[in-house]
Parts: sequence; C-alpha cells; structure tokens
Amino acid sequence: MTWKKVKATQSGRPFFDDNDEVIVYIQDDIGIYQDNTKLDKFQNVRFYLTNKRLIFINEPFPEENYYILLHEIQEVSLYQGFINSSPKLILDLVKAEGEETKRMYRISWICTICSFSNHVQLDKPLAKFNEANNEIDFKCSMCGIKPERSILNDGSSKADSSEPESRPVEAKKASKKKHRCPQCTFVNHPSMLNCEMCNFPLKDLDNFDDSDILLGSKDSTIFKLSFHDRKVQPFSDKLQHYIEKSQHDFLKRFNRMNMNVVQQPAAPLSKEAPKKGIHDLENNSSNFIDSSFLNDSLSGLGRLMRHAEKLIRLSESMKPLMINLHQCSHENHQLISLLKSSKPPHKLNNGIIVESDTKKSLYHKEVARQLVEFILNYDLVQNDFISLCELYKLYNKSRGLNLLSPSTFKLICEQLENVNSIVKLYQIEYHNNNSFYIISKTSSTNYNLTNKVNALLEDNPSDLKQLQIAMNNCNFSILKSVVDELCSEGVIVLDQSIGGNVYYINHYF
Amino acid sequence: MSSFEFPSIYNFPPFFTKQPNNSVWKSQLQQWTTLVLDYCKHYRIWRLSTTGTPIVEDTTGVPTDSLFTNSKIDRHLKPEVCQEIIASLVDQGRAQWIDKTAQKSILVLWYSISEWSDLLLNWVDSTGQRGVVLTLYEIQHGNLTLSEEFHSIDETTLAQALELLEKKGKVLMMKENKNVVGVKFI
Repeated sequence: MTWKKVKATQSGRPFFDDNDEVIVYIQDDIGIYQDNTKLDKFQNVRFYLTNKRLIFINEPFPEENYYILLHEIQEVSLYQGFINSSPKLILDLVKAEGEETKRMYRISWICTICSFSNHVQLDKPLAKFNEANNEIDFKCSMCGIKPERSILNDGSSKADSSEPESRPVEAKKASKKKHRCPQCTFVNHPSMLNCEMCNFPLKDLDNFDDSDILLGSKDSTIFKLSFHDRKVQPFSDKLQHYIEKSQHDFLKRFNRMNMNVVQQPAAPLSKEAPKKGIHDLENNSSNFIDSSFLNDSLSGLGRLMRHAEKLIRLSESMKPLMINLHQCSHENHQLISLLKSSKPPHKLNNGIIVESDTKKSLYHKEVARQLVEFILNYDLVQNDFISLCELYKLYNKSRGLNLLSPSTFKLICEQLENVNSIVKLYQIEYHNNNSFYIISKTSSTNYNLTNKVNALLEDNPSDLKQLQIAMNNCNFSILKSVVDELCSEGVIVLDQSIGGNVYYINHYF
Repeated sequence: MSSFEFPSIYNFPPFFTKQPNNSVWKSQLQQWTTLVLDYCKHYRIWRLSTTGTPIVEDTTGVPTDSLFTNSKIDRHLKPEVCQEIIASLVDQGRAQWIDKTAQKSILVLWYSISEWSDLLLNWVDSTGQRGVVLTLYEIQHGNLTLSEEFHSIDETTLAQALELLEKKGKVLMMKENKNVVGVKFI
C-alpha cells in the first residue's frame, strides 16, 4: 500500500471524488521522512485529514500531491520530540499483499498440425522454463500434439507485441467514461472543463497517472511526519480516531468483520439443580429476611429515581446552553450532510471548513482557498469584479451553517492574493475618506474602475444605465460612487436634463 | 447685423448644468460671463434682464430669445444659475444693477465706465471738438458717432462716464433744471 497521487485545485486544495468526504483537520508545515531518511521534496507540506483519506499538498511542487486511504495505515505512534528534533507521528502502512508481483505471461501459438490457435497463460516468462525438466507440457487443445519450443518462443514474442493493440479499445471506452459528467451523466465534449448541463467540474485528473507512486524507497512502509510547529497532539488524536473508524468501515464494507475470530466453545452447563432462583427460594428458610431487605432497597431506589428526575430536569434546562458550547465536530458532520442533501443555489467544494483548534492564520488561508474555488466555479468575477458585500452574502448563503462574521470574512479576503494569484481584494477609495472593497481578477493588472469609466465616456457620453450595461452589468452602487467621485473631481461633467443625467468627459472646463 | 457666433462650448450640454466640482464651476462661470459680455457687445445690448433676454426699444436685428436657452440642443440654465452668473458679472464690475433691491435687470458694461470715458475723450480729441458744446443726443445718436462704439450708448452709462470726466475736470456739464442738456470738453 503506497501513496497515490491526488489532483489539487487551482488554489491548492485536494479534489474530492466522493461527496461524503469531509475535511476533519488541516495541519501545515510538516516534513516527511521515510524510515530515517529525510525526503527533501516534502519538507513543507500541508496535510488534510478527511474522514477517508490522509492527503498532503506540496505547494513548492504542485504536481507532487499524494494521498493514502486511512484504513491502509496500520499503526500510528507518537514521538514527542526532544530539544531540536520536532515531534513526529510515525505511520506504519499496511504492507502491500504481493499484488504487484504476480504478472501473468500470455503465450499464443498455432499448432503446426491442425493450425488451431492455442492460448496459454504462464506465471513466469517462457525463457525461465527449463526444457529438460519437462516443465512445459502444452498440447494443442484440438489434436493433442506437443508444440516445438521454437514455435512457443515465436508465440510469446508475438503475444507481447500484440498487447498494445488491445489498448486503444479500452482507452476509447475510458475516454467516453471520462467525459460523462459524474453528477448528471451528460456526455460532454472532451474540451469541456465543466459540465455543460450542471456545471459540475469534469475531472481531467483521470488523465493522470493514478498508479502507485512510492515516495522514497520501495521496501519500507514506515513514514514519519515531522511537525515543525510542534503542535502534534490534536492532529494525532484526530488521526487515531479516524483511522479506527475507517478501518472499521472498511471491514464492514467487505464483510470481513470478525473474519479471523475463533468462536470459543460455550462452557458446558452444569447438570446439578440450580441453587438460586424460585426453586431455591422455596427451599430457603431465610425467605422473609430477604424480602424485607428487598423492600428497603426498593424504597432507596425510589428516592434515587426522584433525585435522578430532578437532575434530568436540570440538565434539560441547561441543554440549549450546552449545545451552544459544544459545537463538536460530530454535530457538524450531521449538519453538513443535512446541508448537502438540501439544495443551496451554489454549492461549496469539499464541504465547510470549520475553525477548530487549527491555527488562525491557517484557517483563514484555507477558507481563502475555498473561496477562490467558489469564485472560479461560479465565475463570480465575470463582470470584472464583485463587491465584498455581495461575495460575503453568496458565500455565507452557501455555507449555510457556521456563518462567518464580516470582520473574519475581510481577513480571509485579504489572504486571497497570498493563496493564489488569480483573484485579489482591492480597496477603492472615494471622497470623505470612504472606501469600498471589490474582488477582482489579478490578471487585469492595475485594475482601475475610474480608467474604465473614463475610457467609456471618452468614446460616448452616456448615463449611468448605459455605463452599467457597457461594463457588463456591474454593481450599480459602486459604479454610481465611482462616477460621483469623478464628477466631484471635475474629470467628468454632468448634464442634467429632463431626460436624466448624462456624463461627459471634461474637455472644456 | 450679422448674427453672433457662439463658441463651441455653447453646444456642449453640461455647459447648462452647474457642475458639482468647485473649480470646474468657477471656470464654467468665467466662460459664461465672457459669453454674456461678448454677446451683448456684438448686439449692442445695454440692458439685460436676469433671465438673459435683452431689454431694447429698437428690436431690429437683436434676438429676443434668452441667451441662457439653447433651443438647438434643448438645454437651458436654471433660473438660480442665471442669477448667479448675473451676480458674478456685477461682482466683477462688468455690470450694474438697474434696481439694486429688485435685482431684475442689469446694465451690461462690456467696457467699464472709465474705459467709456477714455473712449469719449479720445473721440473728442481726434475730431477736434474740444471746447465745443455737444448735446447728449449728439453723442448718442449723432451722425459723427455712427462708427464709434458708444453710438446709441445707454443714457445711464453715458451719464456715469461724463460724471467721471467731470470729476477729473475734463468736461463741463451744462444743466437746465438739474437735467444735463449739454457738455463741453475742456
């Protein structure tokens, strides 16, 4: 069992195939070791622990992102760190079950006698068979004549060379499957990135090599994760918990529960008459004493029950408070699955990121990454920009729960440019020291609303509505404030008439 | 009389709206006052109402429309903006209120009073009329002044110019029942 490649989104978050997969914990600044060898490529990676996989994203090498299924981790142990050495989590992976070694060799030969084409499968190359030992006892399945060794040799080489021929058919099938939208099954044109029908991102990740990739040397299954920031405990706890859970799920799925369990034979029943029970009581003279004792204990139990009821009432009254206090991850999962089954207008990729005990900056960055995906998925910057307020509204609506506060959202938006160079938060100032924020593509370098308004008015004096249409229906209030600002600066001039306000470039004054 | 050729800005619609930016408005105001003076000078309009219509007895050749309305581009100044432009003219000394309290119309002074008095003096000198008694009517409507700029000059303006000259001792007023009937340039 080894690490497999995973595709990351543009903003550097893993792509999830499965809708039930939920991010549980995120931890950055981790270095990976195999046995005691430092893997130089993977010294500052970000780990995503989901309920199914352990994924890491390697930002310096965007193609080198890997994951491992949780149930493939056999054992996790913790090394607490000492002076200069960071605390480490030691993962012992399940050993590969010799799957890759068994390769079948196909031979096809044509019988010289009856010209029947025979196919044989061998477990090792033909050259390794020893003729003298009579290991080969093929006979033509038609006429029972043994073939000569030379014919077999020809056949094996032909079989090898003919192998690639069978591939195109499979590839064709695969490609068709690939263009089928996983959400609505619409077969899209190969060039589409998102489904034409439902806008679901089509995964071009199938193109890439999904075969097992070893991080380091082949034999060892021990990997060490070194925590540079020394906060290992929460990650380790969560990992342990989810490994157990996923191993349990894995076994359940393949009906391997209690597979190797040996049933203990039940202890033989004694043949003697029972010493307790009604039968015995009848014989017992101390019956009366017992019953008075029983009465006492019953009344005691009654008192206990009354106290218990009081306690229950008290706890009921405290319940709302307790729920607020413990927004535990378990509840979140239930809510998230509920949210997934409902149909918000825009859906978030990979669920909702919850601020748990992760570092604050990491949390902000992570939400920013999701935000980039959100913006790009729904093409929210198609009109060149979106105001912070609008984005806040849309994003929170899609979140549905654990809503962000405006101030947190602004902090997150400030991280946008650090996370990915596609979109950026811009502050636009206008008179009275007021300003507003927009989020716009970085590629439109030096994005400048005023320049654009100027250019438009230069060509054609127009009113606000015409301007808005010319600017791809951008936000009216922003446009208005920009135009007002220009007007009060005297760059553009106003013509008030019954027909409305028309703006001109100031050529005269 | 040839018609007045308006500057191109007169056909620029925002010219008829008071601009929010202060410095832009100042420049706009300046352009308006220049326009008013040029316009009045061209048509020899001595008196102008605050709505921009000329007050003249003889209307031949003088447009009766308001200067502040451009029917070609269907724009006009708001009354309060007209008032501001007129007031600005008065402040600059290029106009005088005819009735200071009512503020309904102005005397347009495309030349100031002292400029007018200089013009009068020059004319008297160049025509060799020093020491000659001239009636006011002669100055205003006489054949000799036909080519002069002060031909058909407004009475009030003329009186003010002569008063200034009298103060300087260049002219002698001849009065009859307190009405000036003639002047003699010394």
